[in-house]
Amino acid sequence: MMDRRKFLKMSAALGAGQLVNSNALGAGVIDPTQGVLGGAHMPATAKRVIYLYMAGGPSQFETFDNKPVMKKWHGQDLPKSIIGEQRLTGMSGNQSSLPVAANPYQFSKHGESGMEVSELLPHTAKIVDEIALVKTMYTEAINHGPANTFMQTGSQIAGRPSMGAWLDYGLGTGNPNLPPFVVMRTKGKGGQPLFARLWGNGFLPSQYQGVMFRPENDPVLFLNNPGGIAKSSRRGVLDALRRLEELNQEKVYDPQIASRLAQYEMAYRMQGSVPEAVDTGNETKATFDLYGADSKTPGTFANNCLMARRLAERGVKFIQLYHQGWDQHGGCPGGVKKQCKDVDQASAALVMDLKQRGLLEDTLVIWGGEFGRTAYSQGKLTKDNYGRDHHPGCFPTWFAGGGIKGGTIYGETDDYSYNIASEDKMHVHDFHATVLHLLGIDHTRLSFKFQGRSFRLTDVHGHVKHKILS
Amino acid sequence: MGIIPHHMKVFLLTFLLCLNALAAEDKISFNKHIRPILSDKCYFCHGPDAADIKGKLQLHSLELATSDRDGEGAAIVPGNVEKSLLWHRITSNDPEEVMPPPERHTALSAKEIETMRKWIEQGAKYEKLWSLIPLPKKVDVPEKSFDGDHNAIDRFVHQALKEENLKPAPEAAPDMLLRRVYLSLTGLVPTVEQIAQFKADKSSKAYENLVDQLLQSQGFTERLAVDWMDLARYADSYGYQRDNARTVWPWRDWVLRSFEQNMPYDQFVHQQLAGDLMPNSNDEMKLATAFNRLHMQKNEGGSIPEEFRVEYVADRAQTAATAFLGLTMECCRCHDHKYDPISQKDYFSTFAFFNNIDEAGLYSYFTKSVPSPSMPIMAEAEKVMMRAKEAKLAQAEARVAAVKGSEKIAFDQWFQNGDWDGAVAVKGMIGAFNFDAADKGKIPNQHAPKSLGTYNAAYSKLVEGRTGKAGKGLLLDGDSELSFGALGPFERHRDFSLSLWVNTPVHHKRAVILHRTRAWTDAASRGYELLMINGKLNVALVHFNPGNEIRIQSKEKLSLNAWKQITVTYDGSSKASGLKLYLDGQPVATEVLKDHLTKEIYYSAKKKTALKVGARFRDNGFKKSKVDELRVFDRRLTRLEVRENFSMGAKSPDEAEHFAYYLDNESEAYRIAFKDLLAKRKDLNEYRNGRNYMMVMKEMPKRRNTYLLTRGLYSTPDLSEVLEPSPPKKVFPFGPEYSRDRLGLAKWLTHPEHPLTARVAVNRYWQMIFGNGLVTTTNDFGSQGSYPSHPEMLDYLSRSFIASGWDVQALVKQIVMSQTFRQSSNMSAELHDRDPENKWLARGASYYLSAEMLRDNALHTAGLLGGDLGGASVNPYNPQGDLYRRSLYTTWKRNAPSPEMLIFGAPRRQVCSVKREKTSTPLQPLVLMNSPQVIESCQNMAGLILSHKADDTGKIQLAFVKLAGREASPNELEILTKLLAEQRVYFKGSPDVATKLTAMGKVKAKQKDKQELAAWTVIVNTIMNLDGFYMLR
Repeated sequence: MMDRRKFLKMSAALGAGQLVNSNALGAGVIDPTQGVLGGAHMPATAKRVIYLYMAGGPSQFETFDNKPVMKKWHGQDLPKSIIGEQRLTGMSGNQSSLPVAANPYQFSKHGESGMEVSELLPHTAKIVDEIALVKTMYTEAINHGPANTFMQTGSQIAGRPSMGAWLDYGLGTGNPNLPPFVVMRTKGKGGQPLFARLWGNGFLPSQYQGVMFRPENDPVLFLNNPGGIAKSSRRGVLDALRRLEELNQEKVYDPQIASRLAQYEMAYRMQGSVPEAVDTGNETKATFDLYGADSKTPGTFANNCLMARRLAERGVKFIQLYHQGWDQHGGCPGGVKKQCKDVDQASAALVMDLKQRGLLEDTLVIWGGEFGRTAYSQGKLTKDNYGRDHHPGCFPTWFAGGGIKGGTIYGETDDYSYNIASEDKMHVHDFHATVLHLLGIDHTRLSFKFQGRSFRLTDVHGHVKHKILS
Repeated sequence: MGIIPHHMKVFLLTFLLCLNALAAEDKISFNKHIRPILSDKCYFCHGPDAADIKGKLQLHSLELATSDRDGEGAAIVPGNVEKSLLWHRITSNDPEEVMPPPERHTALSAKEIETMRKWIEQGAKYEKLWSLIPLPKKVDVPEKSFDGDHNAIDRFVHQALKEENLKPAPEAAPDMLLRRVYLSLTGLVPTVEQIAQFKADKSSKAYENLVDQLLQSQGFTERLAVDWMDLARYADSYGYQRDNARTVWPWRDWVLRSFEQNMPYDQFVHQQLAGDLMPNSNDEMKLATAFNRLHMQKNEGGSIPEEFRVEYVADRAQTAATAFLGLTMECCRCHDHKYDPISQKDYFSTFAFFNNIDEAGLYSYFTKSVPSPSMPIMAEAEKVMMRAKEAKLAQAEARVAAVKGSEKIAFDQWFQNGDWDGAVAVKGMIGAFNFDAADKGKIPNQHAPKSLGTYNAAYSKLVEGRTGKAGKGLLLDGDSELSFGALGPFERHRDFSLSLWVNTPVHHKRAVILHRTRAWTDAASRGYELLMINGKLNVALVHFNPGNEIRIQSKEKLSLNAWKQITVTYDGSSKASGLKLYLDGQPVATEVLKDHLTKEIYYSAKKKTALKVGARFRDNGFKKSKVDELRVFDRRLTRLEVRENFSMGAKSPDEAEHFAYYLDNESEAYRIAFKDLLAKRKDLNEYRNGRNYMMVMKEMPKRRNTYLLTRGLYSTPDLSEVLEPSPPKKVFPFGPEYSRDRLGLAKWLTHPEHPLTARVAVNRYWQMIFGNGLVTTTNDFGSQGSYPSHPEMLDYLSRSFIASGWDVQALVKQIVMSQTFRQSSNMSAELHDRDPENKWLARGASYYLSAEMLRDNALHTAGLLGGDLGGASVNPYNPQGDLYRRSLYTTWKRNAPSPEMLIFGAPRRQVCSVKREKTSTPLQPLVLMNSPQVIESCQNMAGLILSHKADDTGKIQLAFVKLAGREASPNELEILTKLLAEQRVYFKGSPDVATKLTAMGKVKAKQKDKQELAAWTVIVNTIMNLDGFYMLR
């Protein structure tokens, strides 16, 4: 039988997908700039992804899914025929009544596409012709833990690699001096906890896990030299290390030594390239104005959006922003308003900024959360207040750039945005298949063998939704 | 069947002939050569999963593969390639015909096709999966192939080397071997003293003496424990989303004690799987079963409990399968296994073993209750104290009983002779709300006017009450509760009573009538509650629901549309028999549902808990039902008083009722005895509450039914068949001699003929020493797993492992005594090309130190590491914590693991993990050069080096020996000396940096010259970043 390493090289060279568990192989086999696929399966329309993740589950009613009919039914129990067989969470499932809660905000049509957007998103309204709005995303999970895990890894059960890890593994990086998969979160947002396995490597080697950039002096953990040791001094140490390992290598002969030395050099380069990438000192006033006043404050969503553009410019493959606080079980009208204010301007600014720099055409921007919210009120419905529970049956997500057909409105929901009312719908697996497709990957051909089975991001499911593609 | 075009055949034939010429003599082995191909490329559609086969073809058995296909012939005709339909399909050039189909992206390679051809020509012999072939009773040790062999291991390894045209390497240099054996067995490098000690032993048995000594060391025990903790998914937090802390380290200490005593592996398995069921089970054995409870647990609000309870049971079954059977059973949760002969029914039959404890699907969000079943973890002194308190309680109970006897005469006097006027006083009232004056959200309290009850007038409506038009009651909406404030925070040691009038138009499936808890699943119902379940009244005192509670239920349903007074009394005994239920003053027939309450029911979040009526957080309320007149008493009412409380003046015909009333109200002796009883109960209960509790396994008396869950989902059980607990029978027969419980499973696993248990364990210990197992897929001994590199040796070691009485130390000793272990790990380009992964062991092992080893050795070489065996987990990231214990004692928080540990490939311990990933990333150098923990160690070690009286060369050598286990060569010395000079110059010019660098960490080296200390800190750190430190070679 062919030995495994040669086999791997061969399969990579053939673009035949990953067939060997590289756990046994150690590092250095896969070219980090190419990934295991050694290039895309097909021409890619997107070279990188910026995923603005709205953790908690944004309500569709106050943002993108206008349901005027609900005003008529406001306060009356949501008909059983609408609820159907969908399961409810233990938070509102035992409630004695499930009154319809109509959205109090105004919707209006925008752009050439005439896309309807709520008054809470005035900036997003300006980019509607750039975005494809999918109103009919749906998932299977009804609680945050499983739903986030599903959205990020394609499985509700923990342990699978995240989307960013798959891309990094498959395609490699555009800039070996920066981590290929960067995660940033808005500072000081409460809400449902996030956990590192959402950007974890799962069963892929740990080199593919997302790296958290923090709004601090040490943007990546352990990046800075201890005690402020100068770069030149560190250089001296690395040179000594190299000479010492050359001597060692004569005796030991192990190619791992060379690959390890290369890692030291890459770490050294990262010490220069990461601070450069996150330094917004040379951004213009016009840019800061575009993203909004918050954009000068590290750790804000706006600053992270600006950072995302800088990282995209520098070839980072997958940039993910987490913005928490979208979990409006109570106080929904005020809560959603505040959340929209946090993210609206900067999300739109990111798309516009990428466009004016010519980056939008090959950068895919995604905006969305892990599920939607219920048409009925969780807790008591009062004159001007209500809550909304989790709703997996339909929720909005928008896409822009990198091969997306701007101005598309995809899918329709019923009068209560409770059920999908169109053929056009996008399951989480479809979402993953479509994103991979835009990056030039056939989702059925990016796999990894683990525990005797070949795993994919899309499991054995997933369909590319061509209607949102240009 | 398609016909291959002629030109294609010629091409193939020519191609195959070329290959053939290379290996004409090859005898094809099904297990070694064919199974990997079929399993990888064919079984997905043509394997054992009967529910999902394509073209009605299954290739996993000779019978099925050679049966006639509707007159077209057979897929495989042994000895005849041309007649074998399969051959034409795998060699077809037609995309419609070729197998595997192109869309599966698993095309056969030319070499695989050739191997298939030979196999068919040689007769297409099938073999049972190698790992399921019973372990041979005896395995012959091969003849000597090379000189220098030390034991049987070398004979096997050398034989394979000879066949591969390789030869063993010479013994490693003594200092390298010493470092290797220390690291392999203890995870720590030898100290300078230990090196000297070894060199001083000039006897021929010096090495063996050392091995014996290391096997007895604390370090060895701790080293073994780390791997077992990975396997057992040990963590100090629950995981999932909230990831609260939990106390489970006593189980880790059980593991340490077991390894320290070299507990036989079969015992080790028995106790962890079924210690609670073993004959003469003691606390240690029960504690061992926490192994089955270390899975993640959920408490996210709104989750469906049964969904997660099923996950826990599944995790237990899968962990046992991976740990002991080396099988990936999770694959057959949703469908029959695609590759191995395990069915979905097998999966759920195995699941059934673990499905019989009284547990909750969610742990408590609002309280810190340890999920049931649990047990107190007590030191001997605590057990003595507990027994003393139990004895005092027993005395108090005896006194009460005695007083009952001696008071009979006085009672007769009182009752018969007219000392009593016949009036019944209902004492002990602490609250009375008749609702008649309820208004604007307030419910007046007739007993204590300052303590009002409240209701929300928007949702609870005033209606005609139980006394007709004159009185008022409240109609409930099921979501909005009536609250009676701080009333009645009763603990379980004391007595109390409540009465409430109700009137319901429906038999609720589930409705909360009255409770004093924070929540249902979110607080595991801790407190007391009166519910309606399917129309029946259900009363409970709860520590943790389910599993730790007393609960009774009326046998009859409540009458509808009628005002009824419910009274509940409780006597403070923590027994279901101490709970009484009355309707309209008359006792009601009840059945006991739960009778196990061992911990507190009180919950002290003052603002959030109150006595409430009609609704509860995220529970079903008493919707559309009416309530009236609540009364609360801080003692158990006797029957007479209950009657009186219902309807003034109702006399009882029963003398016993009068006696009970007399004792409670008239007898001073009884009052004193009862008061003492309450005090003793309180004392015992509080002592019990103060102990550490651990989740363990405890069978329910009546086995919970297990069903096959369609598609693996909790919500779709196949109710047509109740599954008996059974392991996969195709692995090994599960005869009637085994009990149908976890103990039966454990004994089945350790039967001396069992094909998997010993092989899997031996392979894991081999992996611990060599970095890779003989079967490299440590978690998968199935058909998708790898074939063993040395199958006969694996069998030999497994058989002798069993024969030795499952002696782990003997096994490990045998491995490290071998020439194979002791040989040099250096290689040449040629050897690397021949065998890059060291499958054939023509050299010693080499691998990256684990995350734990890196940190432990940094501290160890700096003289910082300390601590005895075992103890509570510690928080080295908290400056107040214990910073310098070995990493296995570091608190393992699943959602916030130490970034250093993750960067060096530690698993997340979410599920069972039997192999660590070994990769190298640029973040690793950043940790090893910049992390405060590493620098603290370097700085302290630099302090030690500087206090060593020697010149620079001597100091560098000391550092090098400490970290790399050998002296630096002259060339290495020269480089380091030059670096030292540069660093001295640098820090002289940057004194601030020197000060900052040497101030890192909690413990600081005692060294006045900070610049010198800084320069040496960098030198030490440089050596720590050498292959010579971070690799085991």
